[in-house]
Amino acid sequence: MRLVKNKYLQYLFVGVLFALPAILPGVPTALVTTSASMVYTAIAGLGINVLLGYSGQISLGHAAFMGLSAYLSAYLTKQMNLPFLLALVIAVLAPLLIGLVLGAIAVRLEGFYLAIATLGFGEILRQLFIEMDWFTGGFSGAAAAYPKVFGVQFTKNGTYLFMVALLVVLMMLVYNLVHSSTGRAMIAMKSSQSAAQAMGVNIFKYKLISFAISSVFAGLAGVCYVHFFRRADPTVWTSVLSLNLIALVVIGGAATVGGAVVGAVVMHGLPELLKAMPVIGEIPGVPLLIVGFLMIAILMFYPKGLINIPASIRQLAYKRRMRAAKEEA
Amino acid sequence: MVEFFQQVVGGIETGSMYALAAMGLVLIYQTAKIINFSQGTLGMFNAYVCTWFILNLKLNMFVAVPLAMVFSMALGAVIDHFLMSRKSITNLNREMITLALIMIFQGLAPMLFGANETSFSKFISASAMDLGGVKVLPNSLLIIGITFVIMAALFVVLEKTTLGIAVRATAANPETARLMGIPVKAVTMGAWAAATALGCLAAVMVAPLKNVTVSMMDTIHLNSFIASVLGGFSTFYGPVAAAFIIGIANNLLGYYVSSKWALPLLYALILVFIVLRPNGMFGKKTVKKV
Repeated sequence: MRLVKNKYLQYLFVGVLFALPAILPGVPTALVTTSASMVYTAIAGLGINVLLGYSGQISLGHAAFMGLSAYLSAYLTKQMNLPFLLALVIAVLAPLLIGLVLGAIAVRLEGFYLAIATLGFGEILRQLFIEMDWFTGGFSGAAAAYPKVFGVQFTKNGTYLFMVALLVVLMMLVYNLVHSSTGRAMIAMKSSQSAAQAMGVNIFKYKLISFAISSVFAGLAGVCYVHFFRRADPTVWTSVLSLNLIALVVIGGAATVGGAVVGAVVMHGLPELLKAMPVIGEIPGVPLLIVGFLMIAILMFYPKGLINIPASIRQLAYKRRMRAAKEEA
Repeated sequence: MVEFFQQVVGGIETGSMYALAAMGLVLIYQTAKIINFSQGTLGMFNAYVCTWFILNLKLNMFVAVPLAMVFSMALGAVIDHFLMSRKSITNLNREMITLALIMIFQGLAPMLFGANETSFSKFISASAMDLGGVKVLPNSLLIIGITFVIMAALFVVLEKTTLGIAVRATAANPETARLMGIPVKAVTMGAWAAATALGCLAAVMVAPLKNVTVSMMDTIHLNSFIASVLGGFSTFYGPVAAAFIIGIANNLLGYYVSSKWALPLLYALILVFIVLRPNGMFGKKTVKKV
């Protein structure tokens, strides 16, 4: 029983579940593609969860950070022939640096300034993606190859497994982070900034840390995207993607490590299910609508998020049992 | 010099649209203490509704636009009543509900009205007038005129009437305002209704330039946010003034520096300004108590 409760093993188990489509024979490749979408959004969502769930800050520009890393990695590996891992590090450092500068300005101010600063910044970046076609390929997009690590050329499934491994490692890292003093400071900050400040929490520092972490995760997700789908074009990195990242954190469960994963599965799984249905699958905009309604429903009636449903059910059952025991006594 | 004034007039026209949207943002922020991220999307949706009135009910433009504004007021009030007024929801979650509203209305618009772009005619289609070399469309004058009338009316209401005192008291402190007998709930609902109608008006004004599409309000939405930051969220008039400054500055930068880099340059300048004056041009520092 203790083994089941061990968080690291749980995350490993999640990883094994995700790896199944790539390992089992006879699985249609479309399933691997859908799962890959889940994995890269889950990686970005993990970062958003640190920012939104733990420190209560909204960012509307993380899609642009993802795009920046994706284009950088594609450019560095294809045009400059850098090895994949080096390109990955450089591609992730770029949003980190920009995130630190942008965050240092916006985070000093009230909460919503970060949302507005990232909204504006995201819009500028998206326009640059279209304009700078020597770097991004403009509207036609940039191409990239499956990664090659230490001489080993990954296949489609290999790239997917690499992403899954990355997700598992990141989940463990986030778990450690939120159970450290940094994580506790962030949680204190979310419930009351002034109170946290009075307790000696340096608000500016922790807000900036959480923003930096989320930028790095968005960058990693972008790199995963471009090397799995082997292309990136400006229609991907829109504000709708940034909104989706927030939505999946809310739906899955804010301030939980697994919430982003559950949210990503729901967000990409639901449209696939709907597409299979006869009439509803034909109407455009249905997935967006459903995610929106789901998000409102969660925010209004069950802000803990889908991931906490089992815990809530257990709690209810426990309460009922206690009441029954009391009546007997 | 003529070119300069040409750009300024153009800037005032786009600034009018930013100002209307920014006024809506600030009304909701002041009374309900949340940022309404769905302002632009709601405006877009209401522009679709207005187009529907014109195309399907064959209404005259001057009937359809006020009708669409009434519709958007009702929509705003409904959103406030059903989604915003629950006491158990934190303000952060309220802001996230407005984010969810973006998704819902961006999904609904193509579903209800079709995915095709619809053109939208100007209020006045007369050709440009020549004012000392500066060419001005009568339609632009109408847009600027409507905006100034609405702004003036709002300021009179806010500063001179009992209703305005209720709004300002709610903005200052909702708890105290309620103890003073001010119906805070009605005030926030009214703010939502007015803000949505202002967003609708801004969308209808930009519609002839960009056609009615899902993304028609993106620029206005973003610039109204930037205007509210630049002017300071804590005043009613700051964002409106900042909206005109942004509209004019954007045009001048585009004409004299580079049309491609005008907007990034402007945002960078504003960012520097915010570092120096975090509460905006006219803003006051608000001190929060634990």
